[in-house]
Amino acid sequence: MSIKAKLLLANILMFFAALTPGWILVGSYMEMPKNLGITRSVYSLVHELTLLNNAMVDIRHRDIERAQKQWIGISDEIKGYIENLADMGVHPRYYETLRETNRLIRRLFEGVNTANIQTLDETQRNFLITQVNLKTHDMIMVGHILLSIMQEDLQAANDRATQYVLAFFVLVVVIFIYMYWFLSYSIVNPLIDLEYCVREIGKGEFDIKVPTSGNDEIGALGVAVNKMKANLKMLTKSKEEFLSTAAHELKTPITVLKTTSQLMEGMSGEELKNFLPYALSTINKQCDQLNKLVVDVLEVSKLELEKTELRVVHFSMNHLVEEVVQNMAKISEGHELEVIRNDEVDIFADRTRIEQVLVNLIDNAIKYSPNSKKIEIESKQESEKVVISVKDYGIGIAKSRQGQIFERFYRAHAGTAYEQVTSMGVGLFLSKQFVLRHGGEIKFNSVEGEGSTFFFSLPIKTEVSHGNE
Amino acid sequence: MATNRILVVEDNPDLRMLTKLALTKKGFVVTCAENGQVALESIEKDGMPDLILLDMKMPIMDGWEFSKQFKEKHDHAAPIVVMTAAQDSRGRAMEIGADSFLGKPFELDQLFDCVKNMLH
Repeated sequence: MSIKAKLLLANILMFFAALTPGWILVGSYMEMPKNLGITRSVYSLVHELTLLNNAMVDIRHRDIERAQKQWIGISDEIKGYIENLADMGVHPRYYETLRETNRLIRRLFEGVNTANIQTLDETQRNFLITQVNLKTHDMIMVGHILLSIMQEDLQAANDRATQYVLAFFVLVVVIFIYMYWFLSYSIVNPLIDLEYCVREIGKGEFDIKVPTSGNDEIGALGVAVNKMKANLKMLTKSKEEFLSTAAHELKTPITVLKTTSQLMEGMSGEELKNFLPYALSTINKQCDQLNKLVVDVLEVSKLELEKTELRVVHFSMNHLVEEVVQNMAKISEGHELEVIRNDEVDIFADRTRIEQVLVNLIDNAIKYSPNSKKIEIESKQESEKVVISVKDYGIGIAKSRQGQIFERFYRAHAGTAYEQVTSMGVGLFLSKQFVLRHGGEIKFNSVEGEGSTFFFSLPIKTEVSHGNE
Repeated sequence: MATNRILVVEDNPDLRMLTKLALTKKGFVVTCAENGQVALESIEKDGMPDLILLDMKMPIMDGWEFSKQFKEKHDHAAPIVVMTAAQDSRGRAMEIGADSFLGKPFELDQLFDCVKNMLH
């Protein structure tokens, strides 16, 4: 489950958790008017019952008519309130007895009138008064019992509601604890693990295992960190190799210079005179070599800082090809550089950089064909671009190493018998960057043991790109 | 002092030539080889030298492979001095079980001292 989904789930749970007490509150608020109505009716009933006491007094004073009138009025009121209670959904058990007693007394009074009261003898009159007294008394009792029962029931209902609220509160707490556990287990803990790994990688510990389990965003982050770790590991390794190779490459010309000068110290006269031309040309050559190494290193760091600016001039590509081939032929010992085709093309480009590319490609062709001396160079115009190729019949590049050859500090032949050949692993990287900045392309075909062909193309009506690539 | 023969195995042509020149001036007979393979062929052809000066990083056959094959074929019949531009030249020498080492760039006097020590 993704983190987004987890957060959504947590939100939904929290929504319900917050809704439950809210619902209880709203529910009791809705109940309030009804409860108030019931309570009011019950108190009115009790009030009516106290009025009955007055009626009883009247009966005792033998004012039957007045008592009758009062009684029927009170009875109507009681009947009304009981109906009210029934309307409000109060259970009949609370008012059934009261209603029955009320009906009985009413019937009793309806059957009595002034005329026949006068005909009643003392005994009958006393019996009637006693009956009315008894029934009234009953009714007051019943009313009070009803009231207390209702109070008890209301109290019980209240207690139950409190229990519900407590139960829901416990449930909400449980939900929150579960959510805390769930979120921390599935989100925060993996993040802590990942943070530890990233910190270790930052210290240069590249062998640490980054957790990539879990198909959520953190799992994806783990995969990305792993990839970054692999890249960093490779880059660090390449840089270390580059530094050691650069030191080695710088030391070789220095050794030659030092040995030459020390040899000269021990010479004099004719011997020194004969040695001098060789010494001077050696010093010159070694200084060039040192300079090239320094320039390469600087170019790489400039490219890393994206500071390289192209100095675009208009020049003849075929002249450049001829010039480079002639110079390289002088330096190489025994390789045969053959220009197969060289179309006349003028282009706008940074001449120095394009020369560097061509020199790098021919230099590589010479280095990596120790046993085959033939190198073929071709420059041809293809519609809007010029394509230059350098083909050798040398050792070629193993398939497994072909993907990385344009990466900086990468030396395709490291670890093979050809590793020792002078290389800092920056030539092809620089060449590719230069060609890309001109809006061109660089590609190669290579078969291990049969040789390699490197091509690069440059647009002729060039709108030079000043971008990074 | 009998003329001692030294085999210089070094891929850089200038350094090869200069070392040869320096040692020749001191009265040694110097044979050169541009890599391990040529060095092995030279031993087959011209016989065992009294000392081998060996560069490590060379094309076709490097110092490591050369010393391995040299020990197998010739039972380490001549002392080997490693000439290396690596930071840890002593380590390089120990890696291949060489008898001594020279870190590049070296003083010519160091070279002569080393050669003398090895031959006595």
